[in-house]
Amino acid sequence: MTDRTEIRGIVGIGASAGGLEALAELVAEIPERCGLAFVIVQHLSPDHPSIMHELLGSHTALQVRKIEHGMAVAPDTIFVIPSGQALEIMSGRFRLKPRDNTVGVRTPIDGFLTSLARAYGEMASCVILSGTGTDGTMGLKAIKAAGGIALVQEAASARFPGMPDSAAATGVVDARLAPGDVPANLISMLNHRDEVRNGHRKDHVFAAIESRLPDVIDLLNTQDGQDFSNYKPGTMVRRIERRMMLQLQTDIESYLSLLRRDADERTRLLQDFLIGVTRFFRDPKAFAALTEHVIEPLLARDQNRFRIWVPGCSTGEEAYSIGILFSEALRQADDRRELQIFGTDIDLNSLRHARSAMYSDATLESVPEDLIKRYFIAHKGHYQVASRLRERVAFAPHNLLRDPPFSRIDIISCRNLLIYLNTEGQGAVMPRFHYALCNSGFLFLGPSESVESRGSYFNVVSRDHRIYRRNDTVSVGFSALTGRRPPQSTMPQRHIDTTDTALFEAPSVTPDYETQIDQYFLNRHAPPYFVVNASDEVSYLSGTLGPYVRPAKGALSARLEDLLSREIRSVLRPLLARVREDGGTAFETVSLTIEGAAPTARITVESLPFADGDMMVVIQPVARSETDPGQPSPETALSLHSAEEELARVRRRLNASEAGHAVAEQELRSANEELLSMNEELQSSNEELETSREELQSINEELETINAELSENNSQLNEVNSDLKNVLDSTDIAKLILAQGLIVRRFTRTAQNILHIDDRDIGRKVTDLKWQIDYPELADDVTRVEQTLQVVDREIANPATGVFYQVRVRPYRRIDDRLDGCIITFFDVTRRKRAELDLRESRERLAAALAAGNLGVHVYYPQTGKLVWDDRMREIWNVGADREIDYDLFMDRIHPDDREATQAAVDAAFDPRGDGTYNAEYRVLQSDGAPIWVRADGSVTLENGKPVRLVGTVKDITERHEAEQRMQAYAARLELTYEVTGIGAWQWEVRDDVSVWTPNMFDLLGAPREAKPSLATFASYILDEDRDRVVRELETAMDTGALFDSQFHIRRGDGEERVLVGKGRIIYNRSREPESMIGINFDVTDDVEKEARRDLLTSELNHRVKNSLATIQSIASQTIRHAPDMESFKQSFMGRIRAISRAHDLLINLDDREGTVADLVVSQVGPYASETDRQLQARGPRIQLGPSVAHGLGLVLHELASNASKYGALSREGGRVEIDWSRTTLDDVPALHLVWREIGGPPVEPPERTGFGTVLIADSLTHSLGGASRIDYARDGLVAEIDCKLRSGDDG
Amino acid sequence: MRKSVLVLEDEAIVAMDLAAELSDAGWQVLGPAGSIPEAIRLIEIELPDAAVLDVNLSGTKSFDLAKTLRDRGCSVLFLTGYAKDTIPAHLSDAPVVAKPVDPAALTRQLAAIGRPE
Repeated sequence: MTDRTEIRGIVGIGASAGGLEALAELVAEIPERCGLAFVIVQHLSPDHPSIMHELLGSHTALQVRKIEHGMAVAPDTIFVIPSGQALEIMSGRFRLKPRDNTVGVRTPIDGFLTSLARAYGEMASCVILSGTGTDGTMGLKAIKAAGGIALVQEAASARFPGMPDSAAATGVVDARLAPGDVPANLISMLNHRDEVRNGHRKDHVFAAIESRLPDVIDLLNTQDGQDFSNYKPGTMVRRIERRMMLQLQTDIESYLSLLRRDADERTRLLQDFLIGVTRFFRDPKAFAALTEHVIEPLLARDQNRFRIWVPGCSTGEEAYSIGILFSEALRQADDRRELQIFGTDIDLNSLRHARSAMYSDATLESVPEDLIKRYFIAHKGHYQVASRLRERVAFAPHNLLRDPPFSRIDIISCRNLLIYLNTEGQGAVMPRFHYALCNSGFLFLGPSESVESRGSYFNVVSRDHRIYRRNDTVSVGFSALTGRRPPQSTMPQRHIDTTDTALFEAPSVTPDYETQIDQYFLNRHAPPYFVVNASDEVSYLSGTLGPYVRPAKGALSARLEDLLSREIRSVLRPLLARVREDGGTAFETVSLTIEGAAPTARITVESLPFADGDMMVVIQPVARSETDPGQPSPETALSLHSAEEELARVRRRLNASEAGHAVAEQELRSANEELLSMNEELQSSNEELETSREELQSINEELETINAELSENNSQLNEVNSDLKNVLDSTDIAKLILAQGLIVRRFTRTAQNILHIDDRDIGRKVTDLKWQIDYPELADDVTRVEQTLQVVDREIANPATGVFYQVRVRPYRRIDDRLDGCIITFFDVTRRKRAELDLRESRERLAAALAAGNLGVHVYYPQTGKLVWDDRMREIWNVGADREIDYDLFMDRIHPDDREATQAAVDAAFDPRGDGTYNAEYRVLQSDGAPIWVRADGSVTLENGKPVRLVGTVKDITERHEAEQRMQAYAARLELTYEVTGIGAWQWEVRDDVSVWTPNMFDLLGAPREAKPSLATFASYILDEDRDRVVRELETAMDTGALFDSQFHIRRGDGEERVLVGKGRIIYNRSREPESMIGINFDVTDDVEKEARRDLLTSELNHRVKNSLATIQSIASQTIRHAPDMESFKQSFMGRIRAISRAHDLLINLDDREGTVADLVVSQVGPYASETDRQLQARGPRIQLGPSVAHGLGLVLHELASNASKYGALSREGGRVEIDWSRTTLDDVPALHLVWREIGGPPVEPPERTGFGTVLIADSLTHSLGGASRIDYARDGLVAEIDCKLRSGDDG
Repeated sequence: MRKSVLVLEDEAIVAMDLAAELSDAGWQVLGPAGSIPEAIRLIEIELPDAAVLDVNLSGTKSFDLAKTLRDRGCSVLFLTGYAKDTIPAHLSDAPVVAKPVDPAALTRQLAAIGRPE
């Protein structure tokens, strides 16, 4: 047992003769736990209990169970039908029904499979195995229609291939396999299906199929001629996916390639696309409504026949259903009018099926029993539609979407076809239906279809039941002539026999009691009777007629001759004839020799008042006594009498017969004559027809000729048409042709683009169109053109695009010169318009430019000598506006000095070797004699190589000229400045190292004037130790934009070293790259030297101050050492300091810092000597002394003078000092020899001890300078002699 | 014996004063010399124990003399009025006394290198 409750699918297996063997093979291969339930249905004898489940059990591990009513279906189980029962499945449980023995051959397989398909849909599968007959075929179709898988046993392996072959003939079988292969294939198909459908793959696969759907449709269209382009993709995608699943294809691409090479697979796919399941009276309520709303109103119409069309009829159930309904209605109304039903479909297999008119009982489920009886004949286990109904129904292949529709149809029943079509297809079908139906014809659609969104072709009759009536007010939207194929020439129209000989009516049963009593009486006590119709057929028999009926041998017939006993027949005919002729009632008494009946009977014939043509015949038994009451009855007399009577009766009958015969003969004769005359008529008709035929033939010939001409004409017209079209299209000019009344008739493609109109707008009123262009005057213009026949031009714009059009409206003349509307041309003049605007703008710009530049314009034509000047020219030349200008006038006003150059410039412009440009600057003399400087520019225009005119401008450049002169003066001054200051200026072009130098630059460098100015040249003069630095600074200045400021040494061309300062600044171009540098150089050598000297002096001064301080410290220290008291110290020290100070003053006041000996003497001795007494006499040459020496000598002179003023010649009046000096040399350097001599002083005493003053005089000069001092203390006056060098090492 | 010290100073008054100060401090003064050739003449006669040398003598530097003296075992002390006068590295351990001279400082420095007995 299995623990699984989930059933994956149910497989119905049908088998019959030879099936056991196949079943055994099949079940042996069923794997365990496959999730499937297998149900085996067989043809079993009801009389023998089946042991099938036991037989199969030995071949499989699965459980095999015999089905019981109500048993639940379970997976991994094999169920076997019990014998003598019909099997169905519903809600997961089996239902067994007693077999219906009334129905001919049983079809248990069809029955079960149909219920299986209904209950399980896609989960249902079926396998048809060996067997005879066709059982299973219908069921297999049902399984397929529900989406299941259908397999059949391959013919070779089947003992009896009838059943599998029949099933396979449906064309919908998925595979034909050996029984042993069935389970594995089935399971893999299911697996594949599940795999494809589960999860994401399903959507993915569907999307992939949908994307390739056009290719599949195209393939089927080109290879098999079936067009599904208007079918709903959803259905088709599902069907393709199903086929892919069955072919184990996971990929639409590989399935497409399979389709391309496998015609059989294409056929199977086609079958899948076309699959349809219909049943008789598939929607009983809708059909009832059809009778009420359609058939009954139709019958009320006055017409001879009714035509019904069932497109997409599939296997014909719907067509027959409607046929039955209509026939019933006709029959009930006793209406003999003709009925024609056309069933069409594109599936030839279905049509074949429909024509065979064989249906299973399953399809007849909704058909009422009486209708089955009346319209179907049971036939080999199926029902076949009765031939009289079949004859009314014709089936033909027809593609609703492609072939022209039928016409003059009263009812179109198209149920469940539109649902397969997409919106476009549905839209295409409606006009066809509308076309096909005659006025007020009806359309009958399926429950989920509607025409309500399809415009107003139809009016609703019954919305619930989808019944519509043709809207006759709508114009026909379909033309058969525009269809893709010529209309089908003939549709099979079968003769339909409306006589219904085999029809017996059942007496209507009334539940009314009284009627029941009447009935009872009639049944029990009424004499036998029957009804004969006008055709001498017995149409009704009473139950008691038995003995008088003697059915003839052969097929059952209702004719009198075939039904009644001879005695009755012979009497009845004359009676019938009499009553038919005379009306009323006739009777005759006859003797009968019929067993079980009275020997004598009266036969009464009476016409039925309520049924025209029908006669009631009553056979009333009569007792002999009644017929001849007074007659003795001896046996002989009796027999003689009876013989005589018999004879008399026979004679009478004979007479009657003879009379009848004569009548008949007469009738025959007259009939013969009629026939003869008819023959004559026919003969003549035939001759007429012959003539007509010949005429027709000749007409036909003529028509052929005309046709050929027309064809030729047509092709010419086509040519002209295409020429016209090409002309129109090629012009690129928008043309719109309007018929009268502003109706759009034709337009060029360009017009289509400009006006945004398309073919749908043809026939519409042009003023109703929505245009982008702004042309409200159109209607007025057209009216004007039509009235005046004059062309109207107008310029309009399209505000949206900014395009301008020149619109021209012309009358349209037909070839016969008749006016017929007008033709409107739109020229795109945007470019011209723009050019105009541009021209105007450029003129304005030119004028503005001329005005702004204050330019005068002149044109000179050399060939004529003519000159044309504008106002500004005249103003400059001081010429009035009306005066004629000529070349002489032009020249006359030019300054005499400039005339020659101006003429030369004009000549140069006209010189053919030149470039034709004219440039001149000259003065124009004004009336006050002052000149205006003008600049003239122009160029000569050549035509054919010859100069034709000179166009030029003239500008007043007086101000510029003056400015230039000012600039020149400025430049000259600047140059002079450079020259005077010695500044050299330069400009250096960075990129190509080219410089411009002022002359001073060359002079600064001592460079030859012919040297090439450049940085390299400049750098070559810079001393090596500075060059790199200068270049570096220059680069920094270039990089940063900072000022270049550098001081450096150069060696001039003449070898002299100088110091220069360079300053400059970089100039960038627009892209911020260094372009050039402008700068100056000047010589700072003198300044540098001065500064160096000043530095040296400062340092020297510092040194000297320190030394002076050291000296003063030492003087103080020494003076203290030698001073006896503070007073004498003070005097000595102050005097010595003053002496040093004076010597210092002397040096500071001198530029060259060298004092002369005379200066020193005066400054040191002067303060002690009286000038008036001429106490100081100094004599000697001018000798300059170094500072150190000056200090030292100054101090010595101070000591001498101080001593002299205290103790010597200067201490008294009359005393004097004579100082004489001269040049000498000491150690080969210049030296001074000075003699101090005191005269007229007190007598000299040599000092007792050597004081500091003495030491000073003796040593201070000689200590570091060499030389010598001597002091002679002579009595009459001290004499000192000093020799010393003029400069110490310190003195430079 | 008093230790001897050479005084080299080109300014006569300063030289006299230095000599007087050093003599007062107990040194036997050689010179004072006013120039390098005179100083060389003096030390050829008698090598002093120490020397007080003015760095700059009328533009001539006394460093070579100082080296000679030190090579011969004589301590050297420089006098200078210039901040600029930088002492060469090989003489940088010699004491330096700035002018104008503080006599006490001079004698103290000199005593550090060679105290007179």
